[in-house]
Amino acid sequence: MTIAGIGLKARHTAELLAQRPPLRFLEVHAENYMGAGGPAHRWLTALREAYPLSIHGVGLSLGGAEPLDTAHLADLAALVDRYQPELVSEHLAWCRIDGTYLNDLLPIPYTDASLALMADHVDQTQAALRRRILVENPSSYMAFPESDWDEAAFLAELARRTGCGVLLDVNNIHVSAHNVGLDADRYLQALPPDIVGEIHVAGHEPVDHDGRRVLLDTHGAPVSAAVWDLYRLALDRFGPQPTLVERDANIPPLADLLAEAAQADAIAQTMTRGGPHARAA
Amino acid sequence: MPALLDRQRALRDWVLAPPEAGELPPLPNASLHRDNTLGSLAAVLGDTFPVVKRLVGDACFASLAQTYIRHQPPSEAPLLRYGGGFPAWLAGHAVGRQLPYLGDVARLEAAWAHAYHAAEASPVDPNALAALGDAVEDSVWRLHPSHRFVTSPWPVDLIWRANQVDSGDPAVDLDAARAAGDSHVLLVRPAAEVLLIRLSPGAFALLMALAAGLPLGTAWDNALALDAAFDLEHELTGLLAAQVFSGVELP
Repeated sequence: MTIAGIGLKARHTAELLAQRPPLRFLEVHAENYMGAGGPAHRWLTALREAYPLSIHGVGLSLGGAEPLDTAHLADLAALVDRYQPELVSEHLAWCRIDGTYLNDLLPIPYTDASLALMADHVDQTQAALRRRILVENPSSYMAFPESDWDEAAFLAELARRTGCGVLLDVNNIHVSAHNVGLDADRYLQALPPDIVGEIHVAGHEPVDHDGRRVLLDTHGAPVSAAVWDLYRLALDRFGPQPTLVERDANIPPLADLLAEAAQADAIAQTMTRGGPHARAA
Repeated sequence: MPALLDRQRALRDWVLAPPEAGELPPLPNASLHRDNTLGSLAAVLGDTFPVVKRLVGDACFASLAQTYIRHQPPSEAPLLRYGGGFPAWLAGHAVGRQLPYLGDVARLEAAWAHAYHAAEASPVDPNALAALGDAVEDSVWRLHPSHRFVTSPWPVDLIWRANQVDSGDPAVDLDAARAAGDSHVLLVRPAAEVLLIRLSPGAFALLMALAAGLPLGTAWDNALALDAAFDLEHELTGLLAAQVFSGVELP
């Protein structure tokens, strides 16, 4: 069973085009394709013929306490129109305020006001794209005293109100569990089984920060054993969803990434054959 | 509790505040986000300005980048155009005054980034010139949408080439190059690769006039005014072979 995909990196393009390894999909960051032309578009156009695409936005600022940037939304809609991806996703986060873009996925407090704002922005996005989007759970380093929703309940309610799906990043859950004390098992149980449309797995790295060990979501290392364990639980609950092996730093040779993708496929395989976590029919 | 908008403005202000401001973070661990913003944007600038980075060294570039990011943070999420103001800012910085060609090298790199991501267009057939016949002087030529001109008293194209990863580090004789006059460089990307073309003063005058929409006859006059020996057919043949044009029309 092939459920794993990888992120498209410029250095792997020629090899991918020549070898066409079996992959469920290729994922790209939307913002890297918001130029008019150039080699990036040439490669993506060629690879589009061989693989389904996932367009993953990092710059829409769905959680920003200001109106969405309609020019950015129009660019995203044009990109989705041009490439017709199978999956489109964005983040439960903000990154832009008063015309300044911070190039980071910044956290929001989980309050009724945040939920109303996120729901408005997801509605507006889905209307502009004329399709459902998936919203990804963040990796957290700070907790807000005013939060009165659990993150998973917040996401579930966002999905209920807007019809959006969830891009479940199990590495982010693991990182947040360590950093802000979220309960990973309860998190999965709090999400309805039918709202997850894609899963991310990735590597993280520990750093010492202010005398405390913090897990940084660097996407710069292989997926850890603990994250693979959480991935098994996620497949058990949400089924064999398209899974991205996410790597954005210390990018290894293509063969290494494909080997990690094969690990995700192998896990899915054992589970559909009636392994320990097999889903009831 | 602060409203969401106030929370977000406070974090932005703190992330972009000069390091000497010394204010307490608005929430614990906020410095992880600050480091990510400054580090990731510095990496973007390093990717856009690799030659500037090589000329000043990694540590100096990191410091320059962080100061610039605080001064002119990005205004939009696609970062393909981020750093448009960096060359002018750099030229006015103490490091830019120490290395007086640095700002112009940065302009060349910004032009390269523009050309790399610019729209595609089909090049004009190299036989187009012959096909125009007697009407050639009335013809109007469109330059490829990726084109940019960079003019400098410094040999910025030679400096750029000498500082490519696989260049073998040839020396650039700045005094000899300056004595030869301004360097006019055309950047254009008709296919997958960005080309850097050193233009003669006459060809530069010709292309500037054509880019402004003037007919070839007028552009030719401009070239001849700078260089009485300007050979139109020879220069145009070379530019057509380099696929610099995306259209030619008779009014």
